[in-house]
Amino acid sequence: MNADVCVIGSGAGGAPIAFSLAKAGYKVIVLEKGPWLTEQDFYKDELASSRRRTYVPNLKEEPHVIETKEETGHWTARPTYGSGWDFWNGNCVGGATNFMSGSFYRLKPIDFRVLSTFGPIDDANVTDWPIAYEDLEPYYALVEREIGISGKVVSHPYAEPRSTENFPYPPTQEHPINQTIDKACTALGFKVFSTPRAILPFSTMGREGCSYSGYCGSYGCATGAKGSARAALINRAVTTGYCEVRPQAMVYRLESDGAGKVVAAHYFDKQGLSKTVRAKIFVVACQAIETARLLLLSEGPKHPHGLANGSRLVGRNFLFAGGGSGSGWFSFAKFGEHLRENTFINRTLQDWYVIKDSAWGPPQKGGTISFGFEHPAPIARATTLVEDSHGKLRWGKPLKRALERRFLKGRFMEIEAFCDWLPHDHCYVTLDKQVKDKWGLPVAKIRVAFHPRNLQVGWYLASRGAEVLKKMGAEDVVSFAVGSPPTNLMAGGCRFGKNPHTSVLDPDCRAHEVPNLFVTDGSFMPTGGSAPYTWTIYANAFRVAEHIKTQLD
Amino acid sequence: MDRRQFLIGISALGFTLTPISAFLSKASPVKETNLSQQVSSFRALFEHLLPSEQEAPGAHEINAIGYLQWVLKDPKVNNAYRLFLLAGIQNLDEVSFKQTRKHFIELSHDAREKVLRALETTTEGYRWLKEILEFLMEALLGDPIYGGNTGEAGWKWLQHVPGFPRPLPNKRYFLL
Repeated sequence: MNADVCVIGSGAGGAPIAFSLAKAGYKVIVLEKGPWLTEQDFYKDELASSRRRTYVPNLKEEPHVIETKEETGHWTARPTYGSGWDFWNGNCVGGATNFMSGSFYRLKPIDFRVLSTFGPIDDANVTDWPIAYEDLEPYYALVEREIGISGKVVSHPYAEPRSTENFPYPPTQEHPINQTIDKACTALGFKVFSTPRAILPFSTMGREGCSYSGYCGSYGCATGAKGSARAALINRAVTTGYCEVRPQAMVYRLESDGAGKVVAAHYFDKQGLSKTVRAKIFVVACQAIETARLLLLSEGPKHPHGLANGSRLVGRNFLFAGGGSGSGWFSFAKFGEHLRENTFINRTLQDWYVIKDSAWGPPQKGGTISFGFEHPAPIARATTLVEDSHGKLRWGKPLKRALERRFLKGRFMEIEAFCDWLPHDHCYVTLDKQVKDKWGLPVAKIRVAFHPRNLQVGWYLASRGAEVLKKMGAEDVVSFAVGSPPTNLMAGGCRFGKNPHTSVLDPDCRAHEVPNLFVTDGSFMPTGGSAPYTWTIYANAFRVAEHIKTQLD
Repeated sequence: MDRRQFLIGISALGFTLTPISAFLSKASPVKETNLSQQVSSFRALFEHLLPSEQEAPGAHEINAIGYLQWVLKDPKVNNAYRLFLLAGIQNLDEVSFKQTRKHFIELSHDAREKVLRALETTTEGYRWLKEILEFLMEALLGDPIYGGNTGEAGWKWLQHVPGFPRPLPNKRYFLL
């Protein structure tokens, strides 16, 4: 036996397990597919962060296959090395949390009981969670302290119940434009509030405070202010002396015995050599697509259809995040040169977390609207200008004048709307029968389709956000919703529940069929909530860590 | 000119540099022996797409050609993308010769514009030109450590304040 617990994946789902158990004196081995980068490797380098594949695999070596529905009604599968449609996020120690923007939201009590609150929805597999908000609340509070969440509690109609009075850290420095947002919302009768951020406003816990460079999303944090699983948890887990992290360890199979228990994790190391870790308990947290893939790859004598897949539900009811977007132009001439500052906007609306609109009939689940300036990365901004609104390419002096307007005359403010990505029968992960990765393993095939309700709610929310931009005096305000998924937000595929016939995991996120296997990334979620769910993944993993401790004791 | 290779590369071009490789790997490679001739064509193309002006740098001032030469040698840029760039410039010259009986570099400004706008009307030409324009934005606004944006000319022109810390020589992306 090499360890008490073997954790596969070191992101938001894996790191809380490693930290909690190592702190309690259990021996933990973390197997992470990617390299171990640190603050010394993160720079504001647009080539590294978005123009090249620095933190994610080469799609030719490690593709996915994406299946979408054609207008003819047929499903067509395409490997991502052909389409470029990328479903990888942050393959390195700390996972995708290294590259998140850090806007953090708790789910709300009604997110845990969507079915009983709103009733069934045609063609959607909505259900209640087997736990209540109250079960998770202490862990949301724990995440605030351990990850370091900054913010300010503001009363609003859908504010979540809290066990603590306020956040442990005050908000990061806020942009002066917030006053204009607040004024516009007040005039419209909307209750705007300060967005919590997993970003430290000052140095503490051995991490430096925010440097206000304005490059959070897609970029690794060079100060450690961002509450990545690596900076906030893995580093501390290692210092206990009970946690070993093995980077560049690609787990390809979980071996189970005749009784159905997992006995070993087999992985390829950096040199491509097969290695093994034996442990009492195994925790899978590879991000939802790869988690489902690993379970499906891990057939055993008691698991002929893949590990924990007797219900045939592994990979099913896959979730992204529904929603919409919008933007408005804020000229320096009208709003002042201070628009150039890179402090935080930190503003959110949740007035329509439940849509009570006579045009919609009975109350419907709505969502969250957040505000922020467009990302400052210059190449990304410039490349949007090489094509005009009629689809004609722009070059020469017209391109240069467009660049000058975009960079010298103002700034876009963006809105993002988030709503439930309803679970349904045509969004799921399986193994592809033909395409294999560089190790010769079948890759994950993802059938991607959205429920029409996602679009309706997305449009509704985005248009409410656009009202604010217009009231502020923005120009060129647009808002819209699209059905394609945000590939940086993924969950489901191993939904938890009380019934082993309708769920993969039990309420403790232990596989119904495998007593020493836990899944702690976003895979457990049967519904995704109406806000980004990284905070929820962190909180749930801390909750599950307590159950694992009990089992080990 | 390997027309087939150019078309295959074009048809597979996605959101990133990577996807084209699988398709191009099946095609015979473009010969790189005539790179110096191609550089002349690239120079003419770049200076047309991003011309120099008194107050605003163009392809020349940001060292777009030097940046191209680095990209062509960058160990992390896949071969398919390199071949795609080179096949495209050969194609441009062929289109130019077919339309005007002159090579692209021999054309006047207006004639170059006409050839490029004609190329833009084809699916493959459109995608290649769009890729070239995005490449130029990278050369204009990327960190000078990669060889473009000479003296931060692009940043200064557009008053862009780069994020800090900026990449160090030993931490360029392909060394991570």
